[in-house]
Amino acid sequence: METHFSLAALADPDVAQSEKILRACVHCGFCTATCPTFLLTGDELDSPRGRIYLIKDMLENERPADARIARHLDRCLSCLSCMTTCPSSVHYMHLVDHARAHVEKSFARPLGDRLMRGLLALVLARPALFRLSLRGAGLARGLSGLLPGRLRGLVAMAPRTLPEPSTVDRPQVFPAQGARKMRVALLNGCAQTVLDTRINEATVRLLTRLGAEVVVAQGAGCCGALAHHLGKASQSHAFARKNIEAWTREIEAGGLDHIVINTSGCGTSVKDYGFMFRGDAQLAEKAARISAMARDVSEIVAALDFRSTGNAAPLRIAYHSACSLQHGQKITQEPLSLLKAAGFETLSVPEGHICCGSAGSYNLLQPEIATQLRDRKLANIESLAPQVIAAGNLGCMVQIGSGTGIPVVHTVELLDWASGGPKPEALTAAAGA
Amino acid sequence: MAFAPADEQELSQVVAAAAAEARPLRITGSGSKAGIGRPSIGEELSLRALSGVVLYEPEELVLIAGAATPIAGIEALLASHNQHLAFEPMDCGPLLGAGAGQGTVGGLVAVNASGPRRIKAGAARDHVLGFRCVTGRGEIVKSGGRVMKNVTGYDLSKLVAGSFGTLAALTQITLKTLPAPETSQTLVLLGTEEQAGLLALRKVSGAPLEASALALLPKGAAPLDLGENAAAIRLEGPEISVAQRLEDLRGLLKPFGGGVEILGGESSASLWRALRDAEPVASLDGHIWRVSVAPSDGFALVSALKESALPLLGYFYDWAGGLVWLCMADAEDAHAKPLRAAVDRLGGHATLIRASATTRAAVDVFHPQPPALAALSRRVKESFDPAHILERGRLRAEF
Ligand SMILES: Cc1cc2nc3c(=O)[nH]c(=O)nc-3n(C[C@H](O)[C@H](O)[C@H](O)COP(=O)(O)OP(=O)(O)OC[C@H]3O[C@@H](n4cnc5c(N)ncnc54)[C@H](O)[C@@H]3O)c2cc1C
Ligand code: SF4
Ligand code: SF4
Repeated sequence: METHFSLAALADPDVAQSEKILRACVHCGFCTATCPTFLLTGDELDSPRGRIYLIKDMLENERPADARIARHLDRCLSCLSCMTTCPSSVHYMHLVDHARAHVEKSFARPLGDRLMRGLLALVLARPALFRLSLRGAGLARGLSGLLPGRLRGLVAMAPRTLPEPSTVDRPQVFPAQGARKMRVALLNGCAQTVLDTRINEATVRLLTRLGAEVVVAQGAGCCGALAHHLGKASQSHAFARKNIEAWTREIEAGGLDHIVINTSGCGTSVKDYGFMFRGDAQLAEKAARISAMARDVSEIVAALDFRSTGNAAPLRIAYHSACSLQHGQKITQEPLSLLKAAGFETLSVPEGHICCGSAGSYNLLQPEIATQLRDRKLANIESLAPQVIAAGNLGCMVQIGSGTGIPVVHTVELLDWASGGPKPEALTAAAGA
Repeated sequence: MAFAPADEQELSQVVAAAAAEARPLRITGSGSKAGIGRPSIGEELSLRALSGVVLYEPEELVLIAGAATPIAGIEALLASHNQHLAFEPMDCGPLLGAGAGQGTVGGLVAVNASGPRRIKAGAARDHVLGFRCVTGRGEIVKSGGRVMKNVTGYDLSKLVAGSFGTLAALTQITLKTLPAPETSQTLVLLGTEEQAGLLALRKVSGAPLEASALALLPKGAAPLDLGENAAAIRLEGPEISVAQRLEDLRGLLKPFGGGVEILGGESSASLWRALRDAEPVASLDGHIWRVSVAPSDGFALVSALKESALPLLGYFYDWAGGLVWLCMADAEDAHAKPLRAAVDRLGGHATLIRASATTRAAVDVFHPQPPALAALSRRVKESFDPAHILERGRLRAEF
């Protein structure tokens, strides 16, 4: 695409980067066909190509964002389906991230929206607050008070009873069973430590059983992705910086082979730290090193010689491929092969490339589109009559689980079960019901 | 050793025994506020058994509860009768990283909790009708009654509120409850200079509008940044009255320019809850100070800090500028000297609210008292707790 940026504008490295991305786009429109929002609204401005035009126009003319641009960019799920489709390798993710930060800086949203987005970034990234906001029942000051109107979607999202905080999520070291094959740091995602503590517990059991020493590093926490997607760059950078520093200390102290992430949304963001800090003289190198070490948990399990002990029942499993895994990190095969190796029957979901609508905090900010996408996803899943739905991302699990009675579990819970761990609680509960 | 007496009788025996041997005791309700004040030394004395609402008579506007009753439960109970604790007690949990919603009613009185509505409704101190306690001598004492007027003797409620457990272990508290307002609306004045926004708040506070909260959130108060300076004014009451006062308020604010937006219902409630719990500074990494000054001096204080070399990471104003929450980059001494010097020049008080235990032991957490007042505090302390066993060191290193 031809661009006309002023030299002055191009002096800004973010703008220069975006210009490069814009130039790569050849307007072919292949991406529109696989974009979930275009599928629903049929409006070109709700497609990747349309958004690219809007962004180009805004950045090129150095214009502040307006309500129209904000609306169409807000509707983008950041599912990155368009990046998988694009024949020309347009890096839509970095483009839309930059555009969102520009919107956040240059456009005054209605005050209620600003407050809600601020509180959302605050609440979701802080386990203690998040726990409180979800602990509605019985407490007048629970969620109904903490969150403004639309955010009460959090309630619908919350499980009926919240688990107690897990001891697994405190900083510590879990030694490997048998000979130590590698030493990894586990990112204990923020919302996950509140909503579903079993995922980290299963991950630690599985990895240590397979011979990895697992470190929960002091000072590491939220990956920053939620704030990042809200366009709150300084906040997301602060979170990322803390993680980079915490893991770097760990690398220097005890050595690390990998950083393991079991929430793929967070994984995509940690793998992008190197890019985020590319212009930061102090952190660029460390950030790039962390990104290079980041792995989805399925990549690590695959590398660790996973073996089934025949422990698990051979259930029919619909594997939902989270966008952040399949489009963001291009991981499609590992989870499926592992589930097969574990003795499960895996079913492939029709329209598997389309987002379930969870997308970080998207389901709270754009509930209408999110619900349509969830129902479409569920219709596709239920057509297979599976016994279990598996996914590698908590956001998807909560979103999909909010509309179906079929139990939804994390891939690692199934792998842990198949190799000697306990049966996932969601399955026990479903069988008992 | 740790003690968890089952009732007031047992508690008095534990305290009397400790007093006889001058063994210090550290009182806990749920432990949610252990991070405030100087770290106290001594064996743990948990009052957790003294929990539960003893009496609630909504028509009489009175509630009696054991000292370790969770505030969250009390607030829920009141809400189900459309009542509330008008002094809007802050929840320190998020600020101290101890988890939210854990505070107990005894702790609330001990720290004399309050929130944005303090400018209109006062602090815990003004809502404690009476209490039962065990003094540092091991005596069971009952003070006050169920009504606000208290003509017989001293009003000890005023003394124990804010005493951080240094005078007595509270066992039971009688609180005044009040009807919750029918509606609550917040007018936000956007985009003025900080000083003008604060001036507007003071003007509102002087006008007959009965604003129940007046705060200013400066631009850049990450992560609750509203994008521009936001002076927030809360009006509460019956719908018609709020609507009328909102009109008057708009008129009053005309000369200040800036944009005006109204937040109602949940949005308004969540804004004030966030400000009450000091959210704009709580999520920053650093030492947190709470400074009381005259409302007209809040801006001068912040300006002085900005001009000095102190590493101010974030701040916001409540109480029309009379309460300034500050976050400063960590330092061993929490920058106590230069900060207190700046505060003293204006005649205020600075309390270090969040810092490591080492720092809290090394610097004065509470503002040093002038000699005459310090002598008085000491005499009060000695009449309640002659052996200095309760919360030794919590308020001041010397007792
Ligand atoms: C035995 C004993 C010893 C104590 N020793 C100390 C001590 O050494 N240092 C200490 O700080 N506390 C001490 N206290 C506690 C003190 O009395 C307070 O109760 C305590 O600081 C609790 O804070 P608060 O919420 O009541 O603060 P607040 O009631 O908010 O007030 C703190 C101070 O700020 C002043 N203030 C409040 N609002 C404003 C305003 N708008 N403008 C100007 N000033 C304002 C108040 O008058 C008060 O002096 C002691 C208490 C006891 C029982
Ligand atoms: S990220 Fe997803 S929603 Fe956004 S433009 Fe690309 S395909 Fe569409
Ligand atoms: S598929 Fe790629 S090149 Fe084609 S329009 Fe979309 S972004 Fe541009």
